[in-house]
Amino acid sequence: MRKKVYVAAVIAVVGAVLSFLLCTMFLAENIILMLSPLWLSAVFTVLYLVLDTVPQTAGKRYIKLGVMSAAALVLAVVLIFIGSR
Amino acid sequence: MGFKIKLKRALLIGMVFSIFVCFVRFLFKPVGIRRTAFVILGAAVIIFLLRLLFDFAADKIKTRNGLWANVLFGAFAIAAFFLVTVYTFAPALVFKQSFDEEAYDSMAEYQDIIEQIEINDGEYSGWLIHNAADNAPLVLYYGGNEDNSSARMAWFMEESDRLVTFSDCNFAYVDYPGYGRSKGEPSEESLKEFALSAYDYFDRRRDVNDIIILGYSLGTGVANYVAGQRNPAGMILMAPYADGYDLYNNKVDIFHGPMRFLVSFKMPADDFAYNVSVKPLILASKTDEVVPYESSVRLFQAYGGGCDFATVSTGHREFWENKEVMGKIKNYIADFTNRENDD
Repeated sequence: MRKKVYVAAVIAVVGAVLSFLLCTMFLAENIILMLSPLWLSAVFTVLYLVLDTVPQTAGKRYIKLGVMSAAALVLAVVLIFIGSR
Repeated sequence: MGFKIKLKRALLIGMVFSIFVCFVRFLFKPVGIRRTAFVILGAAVIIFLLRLLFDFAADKIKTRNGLWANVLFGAFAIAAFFLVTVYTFAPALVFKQSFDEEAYDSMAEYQDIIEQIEINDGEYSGWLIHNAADNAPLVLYYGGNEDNSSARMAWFMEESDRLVTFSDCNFAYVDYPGYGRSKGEPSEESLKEFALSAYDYFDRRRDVNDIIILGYSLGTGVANYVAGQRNPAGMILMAPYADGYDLYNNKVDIFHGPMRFLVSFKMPADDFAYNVSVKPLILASKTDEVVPYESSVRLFQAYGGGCDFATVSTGHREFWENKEVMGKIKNYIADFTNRENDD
């Protein structure tokens, strides 16, 4: 069952990322914002891998979640600011 | 846990956070783009649930073609995401609502010649320039995308000779729904409803004896609709299009055949043209980067009662600044007012 939920989640998440990518490409504000869903995915993936490797946060699920959320908020604010200029 | 599994999990979590950031960013965009963000999330939830249902059904049937079933579901999911995204996002690209607050505030300086217009208890808002004596013809302007009444009026006031084009006529511009101070949201239906309300409002005014419709870009479809439904004295179209498909295809050339279903702003101006009894003036440019010249030609061919077609040399955003364009509009209006005076 867990595997089935995982596969369903992967399909839904990849689809949503591609949809957002389609939108940002047509908004065409600048090259950074155009491809933002892609590089944001890469940044968060690397961040998660780092947090999962560093001993201080490796086993602490909530700290990892907190750090990821804080990073997401900061990036969202920065991108809103860049997009509105 | 192996690195491969770790990487898979990290990728999934990374994409979830990426979606979160994109979603938050879209919340600070105009309403059409905001709606698209919610629709994408909704589609993701539905696809997730459908996949679980699909697995449940596959287990019951005990299908042997698991790989093919997965490929088919993947194709279905991609197609569903694509169609839903294009259908909701494309109108957001068509309408670029704008409001120039500085220009709006500056209108107070011109109270003696500019009158604020409120239609349907303030539902639609705009301005009327008294450029002629009472009981004069009125040029009713249906503007382009990114255009708004306050900015256009302020543009007129910057240089006095800009109103010379409309000598002996008053000039009115009311904002589309969602533009300027007008309420509502832009869509094909709301634009049509608005356009007739604006026309009827000025038609009822005692200081307006005739109405000449002036349309620019997005507003040319609206102008054709009004001219087909009402009986204006004249119509001038700058950068007109034959239908909404041409505007979409000029951005991304995919809206043909069944894909035309995804176009929500159809605005078939060429269909409306068959009902237009007045002889319009069309001004189109081969170097127009937004409305294809061929689309203007196709519209020209749709007028049963004839049409004056002039090819001008200007970019899409420079129509208002182009002296050749303004000269032709001035001549069209002068012909009309001279005929009126002769009668």
